[in-house]
Formats: sequence, structure tokens, C-alpha cells
Amino acid sequence: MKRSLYPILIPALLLAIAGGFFLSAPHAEAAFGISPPFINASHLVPGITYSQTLYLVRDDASASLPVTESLTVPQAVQGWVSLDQPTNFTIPTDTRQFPVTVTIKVPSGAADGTYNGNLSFTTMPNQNGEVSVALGVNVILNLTVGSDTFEQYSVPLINILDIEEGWNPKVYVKFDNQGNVAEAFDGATFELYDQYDSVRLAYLQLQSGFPSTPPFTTKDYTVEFPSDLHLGVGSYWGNVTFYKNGNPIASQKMAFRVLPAGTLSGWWGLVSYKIETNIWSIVAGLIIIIAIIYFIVRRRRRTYGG
Amino acid sequence: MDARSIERRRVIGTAIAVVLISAGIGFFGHVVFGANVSSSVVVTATAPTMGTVTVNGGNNITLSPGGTVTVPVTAQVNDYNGCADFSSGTTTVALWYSVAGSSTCISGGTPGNENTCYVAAAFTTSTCSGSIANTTTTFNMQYFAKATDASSSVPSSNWRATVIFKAPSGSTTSADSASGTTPDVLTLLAFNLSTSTINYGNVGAGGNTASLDPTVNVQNYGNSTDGSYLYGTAMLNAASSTLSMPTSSQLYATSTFNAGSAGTPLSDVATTQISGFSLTAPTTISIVSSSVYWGLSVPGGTPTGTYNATNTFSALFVSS
Repeated sequence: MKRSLYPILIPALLLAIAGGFFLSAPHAEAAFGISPPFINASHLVPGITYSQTLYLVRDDASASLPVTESLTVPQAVQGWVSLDQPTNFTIPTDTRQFPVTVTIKVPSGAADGTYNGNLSFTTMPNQNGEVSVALGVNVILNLTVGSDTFEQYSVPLINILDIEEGWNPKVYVKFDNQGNVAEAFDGATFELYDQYDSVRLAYLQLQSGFPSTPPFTTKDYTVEFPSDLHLGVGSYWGNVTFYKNGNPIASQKMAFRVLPAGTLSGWWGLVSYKIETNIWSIVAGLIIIIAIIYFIVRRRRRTYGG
Repeated sequence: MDARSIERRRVIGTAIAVVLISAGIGFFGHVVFGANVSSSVVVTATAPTMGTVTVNGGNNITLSPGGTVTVPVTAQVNDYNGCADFSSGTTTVALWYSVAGSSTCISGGTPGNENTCYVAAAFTTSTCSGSIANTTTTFNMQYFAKATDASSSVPSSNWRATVIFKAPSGSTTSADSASGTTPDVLTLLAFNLSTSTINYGNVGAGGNTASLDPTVNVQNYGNSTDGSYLYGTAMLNAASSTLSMPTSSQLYATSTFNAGSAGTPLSDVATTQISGFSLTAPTTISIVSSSVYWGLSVPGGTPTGTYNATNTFSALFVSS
């Protein structure tokens, strides 16, 4: 081989080897999945709305991911099912769990029956070779329309909130109604203990005013227990129980804090508290001030006449 | 002022003086002439108590494909002997699948069977004030943790936690999170592929890839038993999309084969299931996978060029 060709051939050969190595190395896309992979909407009744959130999940979120959804349902339920995402959407970069909410609106005049369908989500792969391999997932849809009353509920979370001095005890509730009728508590008790959980300071009861949670809905709300007891700044233990039809449904025992006025509500809360706790002193002070002004004005009139 | 008034004032003043002097003698005399009494008390250890235990804030747990998610377990501990006593105590926290039970989980120790049980020997974080300690124990839950949601094999179950605290005195307190149906570990349907490309190399018109068998290894990155749909598109000429090879030019099988005589033609129907393909739900860190082998049969008369297509594996839930 002529020597004049070596400066060209050798680098070209090295480049070809390197290119072949990198081009032929298999490229794996990120794992892709869905949780949960089914919607079992049983106990639907005409006129009701049912929603469920599915999560598209992946292990590598270093890039955005285009996704296409496809819904296949029987003709009888066309129009019942909708998603909060368009047919083509993108999971953003840095998002590993992407929620998609599926809503099923059953028309008022819907006939009883069972309807099955499929919802698929397919990723759009990068074109890296002759044949690209894409990943997809399928969601099984099982819808049952009837006329029965179905009651099922749970209370995933109860939290006794920190409050300010002068406030009533407050309890945060997360109520999950999985039935097809609205639900609400009809009673609650709150036992208040000192910071050592040894001396019971108060026993509070509620028998009305609980928010109602619509069917197939999860609702968060706060319940306040009115009390004549003024709680000073410090730590306390509370034991709260919620009832329905006389049966305890959920309970929570935990410590909570009573914080100085204004800590949670800001400056206006502090001012309101000061006014509320010193109202008679403020009234007496105002009377004294008014009386002093009155006598000064009266004296001035006597002095200067008129 | 007459003598009687003067006398009256003198009596009153004297009486006031007597009262004040008597009070002063009573107060200071107790101090000056009182006896000192010493006292002592031995404060003993008092058994701690615990509040309600909560798993993942009451929320269901969504797993991460092929990886882990953090699941916090929170609890409040009341140690009457104060924070110093709390800091010197020992702890066991277990996160367990309700059907398996807490004692089985705790006796199994760390790391336990991560399909149904997780155990920690210390709180991840804790803040103590007065006698109350707020604790959080964070677990890294694997993608193959047992599902407990509505379509699992145990829909009435959930995941629960047990927190055990032992004070330096030896007194122990413990509490379990609530029984019931929540929080659930949700069913996760997820695939991972060993490659995102299939290269058939150079194949002449009328020829095939014989036993080349490029392979796609499909891995179960979820906690369910799965099947798969498999479908594709026509192979389009990169230079001219009007030129193509039918989808069925591609062949596949779940074992090695010769494209000249075997293999299932690829379909463009999205609900075509791979016959005999099943990935069972993993229960350990060992990957559950199955391979699909590919071949190509180029129809006679196909113009030369590079042809591209997209094949899709679409995971299908079977059970969990």
C-alpha cells in the first residue's frame, strides 16, 4: 500500500471501528408502567359521576416522554368516559409519576348492564434503528350500572391540628367514600389530656354539622370542637373518635400544640386575641378616658365660659 | 378639732401599727426563728405511651417501576422522663402486609422479605420537646411489594405498621396502625425492555434473516403477573414512504427460530396477544423476564433501501 494513503486510511479505520461500536450498542428506553391497571366501577347508578386517578410511571425522567392514549369501549357507553388529558400528551422532564384522571358520567336514563372496555397508553420511541420498539400499557375498564344502594367508606387520615391560644380543638379529616350514596359522620368525641397524657382535662362532643362526602369522592375537611376551656400555650394529647349510626368508624390519638396567638393566623389573629381576652379591661379603660375628656371639656367651658 | 376626735385618731393609728408590726413579726419571725426541713425524692422511670401510627400519611402507595419509593411511618412517643430518656431508648419499626402479620415480619428481622415486610431498628428522624417525640421512619419499598388494592388477590387487606419503643428502664410501649382496607399498595403494571431497537442488518429481496434472531428481553418491573400485546407498523422506505414492506414481513417467537420456515407474522392489530407469553409477579430482587426473538422475510421485488418501522409491546394485566 502506498505510504501516502496511510494518513487517510488509519484514521478512517479507527473512526469506522468506533462508529460501529457506538451505533451497534443496544439502546434501552426507560421502563414504563401504570398504577393501577384497571378501573372497576361497579355499583354505578344512573346520573352518577365516578372518577379515578391512574398514574403513568417511569424509572428514568431525564427527558420528556410523548404518550398517545386510545380508548375502546362498547357503543352503548360511548361518551360516558373522558380523560383529563388529550389523545396526545407529554410527560414532562423530571416527572416520574404522571396522574391521569378518568371520569365516567352515567346518563340519567342509562340502562342496567355491565360494560367492558380498554384504555391504552403508548409511548413514542426515538427512532434509533431500522425497527424501533415502543412500550405501552393497558387499563381494563369494567363498568356495572344497576340500581342498588352501595355503602362503603374509609377514613385514611385523621390529624389533630396545632392551634393558637384561645382556639377550639381542630381535627383534620380525610373521608374516602367508595359507595354510591353520600356519607357523613353523625357523631364525634374529643378527649383532651395534659402533655403527659395522664390527666383528662375535658371531654367534648359533637352531634351535628359534619360535612357530607358525595359518592365516589374523597373529601378533606376540618372539624372544630367548641369548648369553654381556655387552653394555654403548651402541648396536649387528644383522643378523637368519629361515629356513624352509633358505631365508631375511625379514631386518632396524638399530641398537638397550643401556640401563642398570631403564630398561625398572623398579626390580625394576635390583635383579635388580645381584644377578646382583655375586652372588659378595654371597656373600662375607654370609660375612664371618656370620663376624663368629659371633665376636661366641662372645666374648660366653666373657665372660659360659653 | 376636739379632744375626742384626736383621741379617736390616736386609737385607730395605734391599732393599725399593732396589726402591721404583728404581721411583720409573723412573716419574718417564721423565717428567722423557723426550723430548716430538708426533703428528697427519687423520681422513678414511668412507662412511656404512644399515639396512633400512620402509614404514608393515609395515602395509597404507588410503586416505581424497577426501583423503590419512600414510604414514611409516623408515630408520637410520650416519654414521661423527658427527651434525654427518649434518646437513650431502643426502637423497632415494621412495615408489613396485613395478611402476613406483624410478628412474622418483626421476627424475620432486617431486611426481611421485601415482598411483604420491612423492618428498621431506628427512627429515620425524630424531634423531641418536653416529653413528646415526633418520629418518622422512612422505608424504601421495592417495586415488587405485594399489591392489596381492589383487583389484587387480597382486596380486603392493606399495609400496616408497628412501632415499638423501649425506654432505658426497660418499659416498652407499642402501637399498630389501623386495620382496614387502606392504605393499599397499588398494583403496578410495568415493563422494561433490554433494547429499543431491532436491527436486521442487510437482507436481500426474497431473502430472510434465517437464524439471526435479534432479541428483545422483556422484564417485569411491576408487582403483577402480565401478558403482552404485540403489534407493529408497515416497514417504510426511509427515502420514500410510498415504498414499504407489510407489517407481516416481521416474524417473532418466544424461542429461537429460522425466519425462513417459522415464526409468527407481526400484526398491526393493537390487541394481538403474544401466545404463551407470561411474566409472573416478582417477589424478590431477581428480575422476571422473557425474551421475544425476531426475524424478517423480505418479499420478492422489494426495492433496495433502508426500511423503518415501530413495534409495540403493550403490557397487559393478568393478576396480582
